[in-house]
Amino acid sequence: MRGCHRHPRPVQENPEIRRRIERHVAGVYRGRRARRPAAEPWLYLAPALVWLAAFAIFPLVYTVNLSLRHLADPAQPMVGLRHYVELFNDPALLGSLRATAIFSVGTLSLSFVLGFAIALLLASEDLYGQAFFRTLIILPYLISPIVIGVAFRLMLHPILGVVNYVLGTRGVNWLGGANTAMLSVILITTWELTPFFALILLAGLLALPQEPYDAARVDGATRWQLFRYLTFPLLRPVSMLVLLIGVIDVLKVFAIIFASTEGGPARLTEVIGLYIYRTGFRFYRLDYASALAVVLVVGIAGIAFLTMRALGERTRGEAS
Amino acid sequence: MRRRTRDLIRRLLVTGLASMVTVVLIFPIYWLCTLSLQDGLTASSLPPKFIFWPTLANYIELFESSGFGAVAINSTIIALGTTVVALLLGTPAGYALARLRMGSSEGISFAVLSVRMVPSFVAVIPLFLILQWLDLFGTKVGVILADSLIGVSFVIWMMRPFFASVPVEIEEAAMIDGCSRAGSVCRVVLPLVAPGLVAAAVFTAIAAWNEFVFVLILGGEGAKTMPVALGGLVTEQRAEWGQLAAGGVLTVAPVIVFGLMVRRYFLSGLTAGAVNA
Repeated sequence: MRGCHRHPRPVQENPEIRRRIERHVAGVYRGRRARRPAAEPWLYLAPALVWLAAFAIFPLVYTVNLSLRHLADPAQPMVGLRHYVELFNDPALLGSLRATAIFSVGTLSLSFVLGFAIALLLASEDLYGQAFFRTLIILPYLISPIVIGVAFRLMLHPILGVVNYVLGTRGVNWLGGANTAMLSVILITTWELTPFFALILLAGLLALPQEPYDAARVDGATRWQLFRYLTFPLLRPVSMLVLLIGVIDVLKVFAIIFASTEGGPARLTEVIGLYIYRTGFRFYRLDYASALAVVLVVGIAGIAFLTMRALGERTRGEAS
Repeated sequence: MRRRTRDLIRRLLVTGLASMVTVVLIFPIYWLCTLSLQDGLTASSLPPKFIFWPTLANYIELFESSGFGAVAINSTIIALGTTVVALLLGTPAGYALARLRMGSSEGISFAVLSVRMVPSFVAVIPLFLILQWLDLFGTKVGVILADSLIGVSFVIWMMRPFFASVPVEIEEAAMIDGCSRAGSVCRVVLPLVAPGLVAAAVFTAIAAWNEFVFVLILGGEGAKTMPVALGGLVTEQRAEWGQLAAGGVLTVAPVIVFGLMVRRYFLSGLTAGAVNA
């Protein structure tokens, strides 16, 4: 690259090369600084990278190290993969994984379907006060998950809660009942996540090209066909993005459940976050908790990688 | 004529549906406000009261007997501190990533993003021990360090596209006129991306304000924030309902006010992974 800058031969037929020559000449006249390959940005990047190395990469490596030790012994000897073997014989973990799976699949699918519907609603030209609704709808995602948990705990109280009153279901113990606790937690988290999904999908909807719709309407497509054969496939990349962020967000859920059910009743809603917390900071088994954490991070990275790849294949063609 | 009526009915239906959705999404916040303004007797009456004589007793009690004042100050200091650290480290990095050559920039950006994928209940395990070594366990500085972990990565991701949207030519023009690169960034580029910076600052502050796990485990009593104090107040006892609701309202109110101020940037913030810790 630089070689051809230094010896500009008159190859004016090629517009690309011509442009480069002109840019180079212009650079020379502007003084060398303007065109020098950017070394300075690295300087701006350095503090953040050092910071991330100290507080992100080092802790991660340290977690792996912890997971291989036996901390209860004062000498903290390395015990190799013992904690990882223990993962396979841990009935409580199995229960937690089951809860995590039900919770994640339930929350994600509900939030996605509802979010999609709300996005369509908010994109509709028939809606009065679009800006108003589009603004208000995001509030649940902004507010503290702990407050969400607290608010729903008050609303779902079996005797005094407003939900039982409004629904006419007297005395149902939503958060404390074995059959309703998981459902309640899923619905509360859906309440929080749906607006977020809706907003991203809405942005995707508003960015869709208009021409295919005009063409399809000329051909007499119905509203359902427009959705089924145009909107849904065109929104596929955005949907994948939403689901990727969604999976990660759902696996990160902690405070909502902590404040509403505390993982109960009988650990039925103890998702992986609460299980790791309890192992590490209630039973002070930081070594085993580290092993759990390492496996979880690897799992999240795997999910992210697969989704990104699927996403990349879909969008690369259009992007550049 | 007939067609017009049908259009109107459809518009009303769509708007009605959107209103219903909004009511469902706003109701818990509204109900929290309601409960916070009721005295114990009203709050425990059946059926729940929608119209009542409001009282500030819960708020007063919250500050007088539950010591919420100190907690609110902690929350404010931690939110502001995290924002300062995140902006100081994240803004230059976001600029650099927007200007670097593609290859290295993408790799680093992805590494920065992956920090955001680590749940806080995972990150807190090593931080728990690291902050003890550094003798920062249970201090506000320690919590700010932990919160900034998410903050820095978020600011980088949110600011990168803003910087990328500023044409390099503007910077070059400033440099011809005698600015250094740093000078041209400060005098020309930063004012152009100022709205984005404000939005990034607000989102970072909200995320730190809402953060729960880090404060719960690393904060101890010395750096207890409002969400953690609320988490402690949650019990089955009815007597504390009013205080819980009042504390919830106080935690949520500033977030809503500041959040609405930067509502134009929701989308760029959300896709960069704002707020939800």
